[in-house]
Amino acid sequence: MQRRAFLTLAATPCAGLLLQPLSVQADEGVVVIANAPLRGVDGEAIKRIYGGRMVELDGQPLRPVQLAAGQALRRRFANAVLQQSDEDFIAYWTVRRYIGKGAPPRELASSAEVIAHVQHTPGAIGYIDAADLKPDLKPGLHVLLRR
Amino acid sequence: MTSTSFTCRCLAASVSAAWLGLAPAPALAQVAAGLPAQAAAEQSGDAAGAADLVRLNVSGFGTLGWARSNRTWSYQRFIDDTGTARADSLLGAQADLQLDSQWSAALQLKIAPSNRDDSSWSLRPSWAFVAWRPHNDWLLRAGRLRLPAYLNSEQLDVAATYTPARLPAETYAVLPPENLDSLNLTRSWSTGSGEVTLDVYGGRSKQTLRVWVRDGLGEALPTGANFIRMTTKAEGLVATWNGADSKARLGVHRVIVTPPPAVAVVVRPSWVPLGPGLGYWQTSPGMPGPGVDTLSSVKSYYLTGGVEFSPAPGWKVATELNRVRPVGTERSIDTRGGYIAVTRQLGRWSPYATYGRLMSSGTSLAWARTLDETTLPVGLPGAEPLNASMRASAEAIPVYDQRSWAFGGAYAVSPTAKLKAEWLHTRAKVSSMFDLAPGEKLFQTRSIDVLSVNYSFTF
Repeated sequence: MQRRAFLTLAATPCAGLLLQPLSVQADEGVVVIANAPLRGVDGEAIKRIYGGRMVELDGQPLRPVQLAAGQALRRRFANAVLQQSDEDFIAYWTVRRYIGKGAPPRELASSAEVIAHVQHTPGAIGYIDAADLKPDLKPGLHVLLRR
Repeated sequence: MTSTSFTCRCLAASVSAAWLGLAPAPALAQVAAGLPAQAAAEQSGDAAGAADLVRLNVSGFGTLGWARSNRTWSYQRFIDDTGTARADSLLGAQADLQLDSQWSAALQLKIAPSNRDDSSWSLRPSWAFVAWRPHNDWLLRAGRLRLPAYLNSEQLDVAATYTPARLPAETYAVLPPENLDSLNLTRSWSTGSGEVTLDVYGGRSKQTLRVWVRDGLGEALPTGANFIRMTTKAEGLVATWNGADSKARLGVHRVIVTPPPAVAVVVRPSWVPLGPGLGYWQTSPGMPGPGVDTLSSVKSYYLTGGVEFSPAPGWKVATELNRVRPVGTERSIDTRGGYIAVTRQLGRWSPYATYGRLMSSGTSLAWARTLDETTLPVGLPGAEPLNASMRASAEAIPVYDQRSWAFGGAYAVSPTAKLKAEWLHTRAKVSSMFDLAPGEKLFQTRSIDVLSVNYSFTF
């Protein structure tokens, strides 16, 4: 009886909507984008850039941005690219800030803001969901890394 | 990370600024559609433009702490059997200003118990410096900075960045991290998983030394806490390794402390015989006697070293050693100390155990004991001030023979907040961290238990 009720529920449109986020989460790719090609910047370099240990490349100041804490994409970026949890990344910057080594990357509210900021800011680096990477990549944006 | 961030576009010779980045987060639906929010963001991006960006980042930190011991006398200034919030509580704020890609500045203000008396709180700048980073690997900072002596020196006031409720006094109370008006040059080498840095610094500051006097002598030498303003000059070389799960630091520092002219630094006291088996130690030039050699300042070398690593998943070991060696006088702090701490990480919980040891040199201990236990008969004319001067001199130079065990735990409420509790047991044959009552002997085995509860946070 209970099993039949569950199947009935699953067949309803409402249940379909509930399941929709799962299909979105299935594509968990993260794309790191920049304002310039930044040749030679690989995963290790991006870790150094987001850790504040690399601030320029060939004379070009680097300006990483990140999403606000708590966003799923930010957690995925931390895991896939920085290879640490977002909690560890926050703790890392909490220490680094209070030993006088600068402040963490600027936080933006959404992927749309990240795209717009990176597009118009020399040296800017950000990350977006792979699903937001449109074939007609806007002028001024370059893909550095896909994870 | 939850700090408020402002960004403005700086136009040359202009004070006008366009405030950006404060727009509320767009709704998820807008992001999915990618239209209105993106259009607004593009406008924002245009405003940011290609000009140099000035960014002000303000953050705060604090600790609400309470500690209570089982002794009537105070330990580490404030802790006794009545309980205190002064041992660990403080509130601070830090502003980091990024002027352009190379220049930045930082200001840190702190409200904490005053270091000029035991009863008031003070607001004072811990940091105020300008930084120039012309390249990834070079950083030059000028202004008020924290002396980089120990693994946690720079962020000592930000207790949310470490696990123990209170860092071991056997290390962190011997050479309290000082704020120097200094020049600090840092060279960094990035490696695959970490960073090696070499710091060279030099600077000076006005410091206040607290000396506890058991038995005073009227207004000239008040009983209790006495505070002496001193000038400290320091320079040093510090190498640091920072890895994903490890950290190591090795430093050598030269510190020159100059007291006010009225306070003489005695090389060694002189014996003044008054008769067979009777006499006293002349401890200052102003006392009757043959005279004593004095110095205008004390030079000391500090060697510091420490390592923090993870021997197995979920475990962390930290250990630090320090050596303070004075030059040219037998009457200055002369110690060896260190600690080892083992932490187990169980999700949000981090129970830990710490053992600390601090020992003064034999010469230092011998002088303190000799001065403390040499006593003229009370009936002898002038005996009282001479006895008081010797006892005060015995206390003027910190001496230690103490060990501590601490067991505690921290609960990570969030990545930037910790709730901590600790039980500490300290046992000492002599310790200048004990504020002893009048008439008490300096050398006598004593023990103390301290219970501490702290909530530390950043925001």
